[in-house]
Amino acid sequence: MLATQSKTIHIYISALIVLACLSLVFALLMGSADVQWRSLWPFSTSDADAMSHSIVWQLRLPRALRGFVVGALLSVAGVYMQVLLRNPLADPYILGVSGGAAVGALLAILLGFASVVVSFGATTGALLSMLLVFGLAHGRGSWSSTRLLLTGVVVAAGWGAMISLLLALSPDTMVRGMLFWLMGDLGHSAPPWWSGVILVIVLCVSFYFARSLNVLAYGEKQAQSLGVSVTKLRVLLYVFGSLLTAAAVTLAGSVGFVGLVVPHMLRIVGGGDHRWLLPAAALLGGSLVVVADTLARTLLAPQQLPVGVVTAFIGVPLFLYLLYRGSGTFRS
Amino acid sequence: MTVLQARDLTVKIANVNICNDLSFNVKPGECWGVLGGNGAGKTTLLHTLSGLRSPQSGEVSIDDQSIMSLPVKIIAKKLGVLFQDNADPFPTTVLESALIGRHPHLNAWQWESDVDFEIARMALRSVGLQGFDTRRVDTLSGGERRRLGMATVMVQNPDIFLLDEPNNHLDLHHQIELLSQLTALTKANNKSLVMVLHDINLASRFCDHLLLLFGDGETRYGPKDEVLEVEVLGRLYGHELIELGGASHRVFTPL
Repeated sequence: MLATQSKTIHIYISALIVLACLSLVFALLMGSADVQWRSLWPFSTSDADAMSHSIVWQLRLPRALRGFVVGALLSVAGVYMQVLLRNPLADPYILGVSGGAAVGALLAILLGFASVVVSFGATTGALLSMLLVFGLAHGRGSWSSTRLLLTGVVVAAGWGAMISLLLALSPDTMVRGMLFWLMGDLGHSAPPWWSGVILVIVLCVSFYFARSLNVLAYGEKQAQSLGVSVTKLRVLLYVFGSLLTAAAVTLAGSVGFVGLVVPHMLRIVGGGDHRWLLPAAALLGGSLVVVADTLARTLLAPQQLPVGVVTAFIGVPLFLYLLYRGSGTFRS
Repeated sequence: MTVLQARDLTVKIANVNICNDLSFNVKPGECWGVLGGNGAGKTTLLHTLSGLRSPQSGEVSIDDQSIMSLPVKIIAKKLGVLFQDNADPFPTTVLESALIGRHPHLNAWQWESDVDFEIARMALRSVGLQGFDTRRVDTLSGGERRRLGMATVMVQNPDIFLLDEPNNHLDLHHQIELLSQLTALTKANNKSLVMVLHDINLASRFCDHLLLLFGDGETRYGPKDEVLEVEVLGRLYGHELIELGGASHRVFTPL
């Protein structure tokens, strides 16, 4: 089945929209407090229900939306990075954006700042890293995938060392919070509005060049000979990919695995056409993180698990299943 | 009707001098073969002609417009390139791969229509890949992948074809089949064809003009019968050849 045929895409995307809605309902109903179905109705405010109503609408919904936005941002960023570097192993963190964000955030935690400042620190670190890698890779003229990849990986390694250093220097009481931040945590973070806005804008703009991405996947020279302005497109991909990653890390730390695996799952199921891949990545990535986060806060309640651990626990078997079933377009 | 012109072209790569002040025109209906030893710069010259890299001096133009000043999308409608090799890091299907040839002909928001699908299927049929639509590209053999690359360029349907070893990996039957088809297409539709070849006999049979790159900046070009001389070819490849009497086309064989 070819996802290139728009009819097929509509069916697949509709299915993913249903999945996304189900994941949100699941997140709203599950938790240590029992919640009735009727609390899902936004306007029921009889006194008996007031408590569970406010749990659903003021605690669980913002957190679920945050998870959705984070998953969507990471998955779309993963698609960008994989096609930018033409490397199936690329993920949103490969070029060091999350490392820079982590150093910024950990510094803020170490200095004892409130969570708003931690987010600010993460954003600053992410943007700094993005400019650093871009500047170094751009260097003198050539901007090859290999050069960009190597620069990013080395800068990321540098951030990794800084993170270890900060962890080693921090008092024990702070290390746990820092580790949670590093593994991804949706517990104490800001509302997702501006990240959501970035996501929607970037997605809308990407439809304009989605078919060019299909061509770019075949190689830079091939793409240019088919009329794609390769240099411009790659700079745009880098900027968008980094911005999305920065937005995600600022919201929830580095939630692992989603950005790497969601694009591949979708390629296996519906093919590699970016006009399908981009919206589908947003929907599936979002759903995956919402479900993972719900499990993270309920499985061992009141103990909360890092969401990144759960995304990997769900993602690994799901991915392997899809790979070995070899379905859809890719039955050979 | 599009004319590809090279004017005073000087191209160097690393420390190889490929050509100095080379000027020639490829007119509609002409088939040019580019011959030369390994590392003589055939591919680099082809990339320069396609506007993918700039020459040290001189310029390439399409219908008197410098190729460097034209938008890539306009170039892609006039000039198609078959590269030496294809790398496919992500799994795709044969039909999808052929369809990317329609990219320059569609605007940004447009989806491939039934007409585009039909064009792609026709091109696949013409290279003998009918029934391969949903086959994964990474399960193709080297020769089948090569023919798919050729089908993609045919889907692109440019006025000028620049082909880097189109017969690479192909078996004897498909080599002759492809080259006859290409030259027939060129003549019938007034296209032009420039292809890098390694086989002098195929070049002598299918091309009407030849360009020889000696790898030291020396070049020689012209109608094939003026260029094909045993002594010159011997110097080109650094190996002595003899010519066997062929009535319809000339045949050369190494000693």
